[in-house]
Amino acid sequence: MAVVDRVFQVSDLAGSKRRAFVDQAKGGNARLRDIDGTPLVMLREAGLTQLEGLSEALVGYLSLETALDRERKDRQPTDFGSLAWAATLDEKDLRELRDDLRGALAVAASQRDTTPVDTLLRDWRYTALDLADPRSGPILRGVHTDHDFVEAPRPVLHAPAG
Amino acid sequence: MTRPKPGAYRPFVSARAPEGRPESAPPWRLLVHRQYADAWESLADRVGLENAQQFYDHITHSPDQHPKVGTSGLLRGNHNKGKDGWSRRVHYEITGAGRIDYEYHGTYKTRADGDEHPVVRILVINFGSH
Repeated sequence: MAVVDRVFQVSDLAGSKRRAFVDQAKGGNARLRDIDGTPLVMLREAGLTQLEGLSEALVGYLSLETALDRERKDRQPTDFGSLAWAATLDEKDLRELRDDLRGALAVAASQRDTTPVDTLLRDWRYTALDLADPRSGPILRGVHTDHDFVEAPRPVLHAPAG
Repeated sequence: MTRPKPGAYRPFVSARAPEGRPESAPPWRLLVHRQYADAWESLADRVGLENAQQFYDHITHSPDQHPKVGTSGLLRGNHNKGKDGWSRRVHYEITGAGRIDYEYHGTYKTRADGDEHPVVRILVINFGSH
């Protein structure tokens, strides 16, 4: 049976237990106590990246909550932190983003995988960019008729290669 | 008669199909918003012929599925949920070169008494920001 909470010593890294230390790190995390008593943990790089991503997304969520507590006229894009692109969204969309992000964070934390958060924020960022764009925004917000569209043939090259 | 510029010969570029159309119509009819008709016309020049035609093949055969090449996702928010039978809006990323927003309708009629047919509408073509 694997001892998942075993704490290795620095001297173990020079001896036969070094392999066990690395294997335990690859399986989740491995704890090491330095000679001065400092506790250290070794884990897969992907695990650390996920933790950092989750932390960043959580800070973004908290920034969004804080921004939504202010009157719209009093908000600055910087109030949204890493989600500054969201500042252009209308109130209804901002609240939907907040609710979506809260759900995605819960899923990401339980699965130890930030993919749901990454995907959600990518979708919302593109949405905010396209709605804020003076050309595409009115099209996405507008009502369309058949007259607004033309046939789109299979793409071909026109310009000389070069 | 004008002579071709030196270097204009491109041996690996296939000839343009007669009238710019494939031999048979694809399952989904493809439309583009008038404001992006020029962008569609220049798509192959901007993103490369292979990327442009991969997108075309995907969107005219399976717009409701994830692409085998490139990535796609859903636009979010109140304006992009789909109305009157149109799908939720999709954004498709052409590798490193652009992004296209579209929606689709499997049983669209141009007139109340017209035939139902599957249609994809391109709403936005964005060669810039990512």
